[in-house]
Amino acid sequence: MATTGELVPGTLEMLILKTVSLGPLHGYGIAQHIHRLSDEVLTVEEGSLYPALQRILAKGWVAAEWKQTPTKRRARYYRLTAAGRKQLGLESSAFERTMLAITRVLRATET
Amino acid sequence: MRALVHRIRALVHRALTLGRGTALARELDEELAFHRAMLARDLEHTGFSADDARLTARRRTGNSLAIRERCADAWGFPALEDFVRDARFGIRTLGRSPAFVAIAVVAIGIGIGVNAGFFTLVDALVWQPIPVARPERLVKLTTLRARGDNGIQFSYSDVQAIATHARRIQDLVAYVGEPVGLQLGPGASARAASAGVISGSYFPALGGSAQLGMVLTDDDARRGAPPAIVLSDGFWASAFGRSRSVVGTDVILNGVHVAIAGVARADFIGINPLVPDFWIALPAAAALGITPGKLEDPANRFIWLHARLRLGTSMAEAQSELSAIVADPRRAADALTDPARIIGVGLMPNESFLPPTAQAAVAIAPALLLGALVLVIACSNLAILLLARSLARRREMAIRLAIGASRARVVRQLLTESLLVAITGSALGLLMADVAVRVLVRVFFAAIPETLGTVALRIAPSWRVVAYAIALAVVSVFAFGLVPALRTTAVQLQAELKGEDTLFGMRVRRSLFRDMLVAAQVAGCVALLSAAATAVLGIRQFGATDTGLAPARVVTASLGLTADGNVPPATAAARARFAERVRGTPGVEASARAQQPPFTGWPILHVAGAPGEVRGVFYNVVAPGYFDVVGQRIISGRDFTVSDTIGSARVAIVSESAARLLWPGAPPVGQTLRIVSRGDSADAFVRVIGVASAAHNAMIWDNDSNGYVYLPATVRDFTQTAMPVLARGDAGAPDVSRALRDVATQVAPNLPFEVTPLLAERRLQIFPFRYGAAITAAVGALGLAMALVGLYGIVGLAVRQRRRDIAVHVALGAGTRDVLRMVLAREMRLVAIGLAAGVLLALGEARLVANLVLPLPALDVAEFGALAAMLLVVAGIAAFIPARTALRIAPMQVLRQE
Repeated sequence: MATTGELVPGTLEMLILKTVSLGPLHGYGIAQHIHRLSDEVLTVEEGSLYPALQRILAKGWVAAEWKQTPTKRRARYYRLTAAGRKQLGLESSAFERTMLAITRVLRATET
Repeated sequence: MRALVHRIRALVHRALTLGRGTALARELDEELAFHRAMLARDLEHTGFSADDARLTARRRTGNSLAIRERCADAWGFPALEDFVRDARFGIRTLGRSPAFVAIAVVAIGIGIGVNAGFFTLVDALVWQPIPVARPERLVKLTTLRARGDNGIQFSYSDVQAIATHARRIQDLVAYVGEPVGLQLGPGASARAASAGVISGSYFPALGGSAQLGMVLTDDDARRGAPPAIVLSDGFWASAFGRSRSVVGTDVILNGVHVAIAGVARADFIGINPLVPDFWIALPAAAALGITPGKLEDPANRFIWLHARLRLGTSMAEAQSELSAIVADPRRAADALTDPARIIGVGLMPNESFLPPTAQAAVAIAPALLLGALVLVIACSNLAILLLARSLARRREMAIRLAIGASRARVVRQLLTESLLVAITGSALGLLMADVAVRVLVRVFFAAIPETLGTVALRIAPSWRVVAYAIALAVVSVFAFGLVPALRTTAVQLQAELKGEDTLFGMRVRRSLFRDMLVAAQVAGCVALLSAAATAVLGIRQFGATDTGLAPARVVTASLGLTADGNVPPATAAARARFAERVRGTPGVEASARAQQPPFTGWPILHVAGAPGEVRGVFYNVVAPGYFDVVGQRIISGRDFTVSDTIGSARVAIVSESAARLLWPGAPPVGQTLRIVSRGDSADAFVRVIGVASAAHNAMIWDNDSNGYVYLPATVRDFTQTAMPVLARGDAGAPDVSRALRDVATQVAPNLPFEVTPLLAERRLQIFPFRYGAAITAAVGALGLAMALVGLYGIVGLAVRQRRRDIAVHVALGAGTRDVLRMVLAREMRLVAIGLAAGVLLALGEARLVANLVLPLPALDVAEFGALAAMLLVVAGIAAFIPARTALRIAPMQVLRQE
């Protein structure tokens, strides 16, 4: 745990949206997905994940549905809505621009 | 656009989840359980034992309660649901301390009740629209006179000119209230009745209709139309027992039969809140001699006018048009030299009885200030109670904070509790205010003579009053509940849970607020008492000043109700006979006729000491012997004689003060007085034959510094004005009024007769002020009592809080005296600070009050000293008792206990 990276504030919602854009997924799956894809750098705490899910559910960016998992357990699956897709597009392009800008600044100080 | 759609969607989501908190929480719990199970399963795969995996998973997912709290922010409307939850919890908590609730509710109730009561009156006068149709554009017409003052009276020719020529106003209505003698039938005794003399437009324009028969219209207001009256509902009930057959029957006004055309609806009040017994059209009233003078005389001004502004017309446009019409020199109503001539017309909004102007605000400011002071004291009492309660609840709060409630959340909870108390208190206050105002207004208006009409001021709590009370409640909660709430929650968790007192650090800040409360209570006491005492003392002094007259045994007897200039010869003859008979009646020591009894509204005459400045002086027209009857002395020269009056001699008597102003340094007897003419005729010159001793003859609030002039009554005065008889009874005589009434019945059984003590008029004038003073004193006493109780409470509380402190001092060897001195000195210092602040407040008040009609004295040094002593004693006792109790307990016991 000590080695895990901190999430940049405000990016959690974007990461969740990105994750569920690949297909409906339950909360645990989302956390695992983010953890795995980030080469185990990013860990999503439950205390942040579920409030964030409730928030974007309220905003209508995802829809939730109770379904059976392949292992025959009941789980709540989150699915990206059209509004969520639009939001994801907006957020990721804004984020990329910001990252690019930050990278440029960092490089400039190196040279 | 997109943002809007989002917002709406989020709102819908919240609305859908509103109230489903438990269901949502259950779903979330299930989701978290699933999460935990999956985590455990994955951990098992990495080599954990089943038990270890479950434990680690549980530890990793953390506090599911906290997660739920944070998720709940996205559900429903958290603020609203929190409020409902807080309110429910608050009701339960408060239910456990009924004594606290009762005291707090009553304190707030009194504070808000006093304010709501004042505000109800202000609302009734300033904001409630007057009860006529379409009051929005209604204006009252005023006159601007050449000498710079304003009037509200117009002549009939002004009315006709405005009605004919004015284009920027419509619905011109005329009104004047006059007393009149009325007989219900031939041979019935005459009684005094109040007549509302109106234009034909009055009922149609103001939306008045008849419940029986018809109302008056323009047809009734034509010259020569048969006189007809419309009864008011109240008079119909009291004089005719609501008989439906009155329409078409007659009453007798001034000896003339007048038909009853109808009865107005009960809810019709009209322009004036004094509802007359009946309404009658202007020309008919003039023909019956109800109105003064000749109706055609353009200088005979007695009519009040109201109108509606036409749509799209500004007040200024209408004013300039009306000014041009009324002050048109071609109409030549007044001589150009007359200082009383009208040079313009003003308009005043008249949507309510009292237009919301700066003057009105100044007039009501002291009452509202007093109310505000009482509220501040009530609120600070509430704060003291809350503070005391907060001590008892610190542990409870510490626990709530420890299990993860945010401080803001707990503060909100505490404020909700205060709000519950305040809202209950304001409901109680509104109730008390409603009852009190109704009673007080009824008592007040019961003192109005019935010849003026019946008061119809609607006192109903409007939404404005309720909103005002609620606003006061909310403001007081935030102003006085916030600090105790912050104090309660500003606890050091560790110390509090272990039962340790946070002696240092926190204590300093807590006691600052406490100290401020002590000082505020004292300051409030001083300000309140000074406001109340100022008013009460002022009024006492007001009624008690020596008038320079000896009015005790003097009565005024009026036979017949007539308007000046329209006295029927038979009435004039009866009056002369009556005056003659009174002179010889046993029990009557002295009597004389005069146009104006003392203490009534004396008219003003413009005079100058033959070359010299023109001044307005009060004047009276009197018969020989008048000065003796009222107890005024002739200090030089002589009284009038019969030859002065019958012979219309050009002589006058002046008062001492008038003599000093008109002929400074010169002997007044023998001087020539110039009476500045009001009409076209030349000025009159009269010779001063005597000087009367100083006396206050005019109404109690009149400024009579220019003095008085007395003229001898002429034959015309005796026959064309009422000239009531002033009679002084023998010191030993049983009842001079009864004797006079007997004489009147013998002389003229058909004329209404009224006899009143001279002092009754003065009492009537003092009454509103006395009444106001009594209410002010009661409110002041109430506030003072509350402030003293509050002061006692807060000082005692503070000293009890310092028990530990005291114990430490004692343990370290301080003597009883030292400790008491230390404790008392601290409280006395706070009282002194409060006294200083209170004096500043009181001085501010005095400046406010100085703007009023009455010159009021400020609280004097002795009274202030007494108040200061009382406050010091109360604070001293409040500090002394708990300090002594603390001293009696063994120090170790206190220290161990805390």
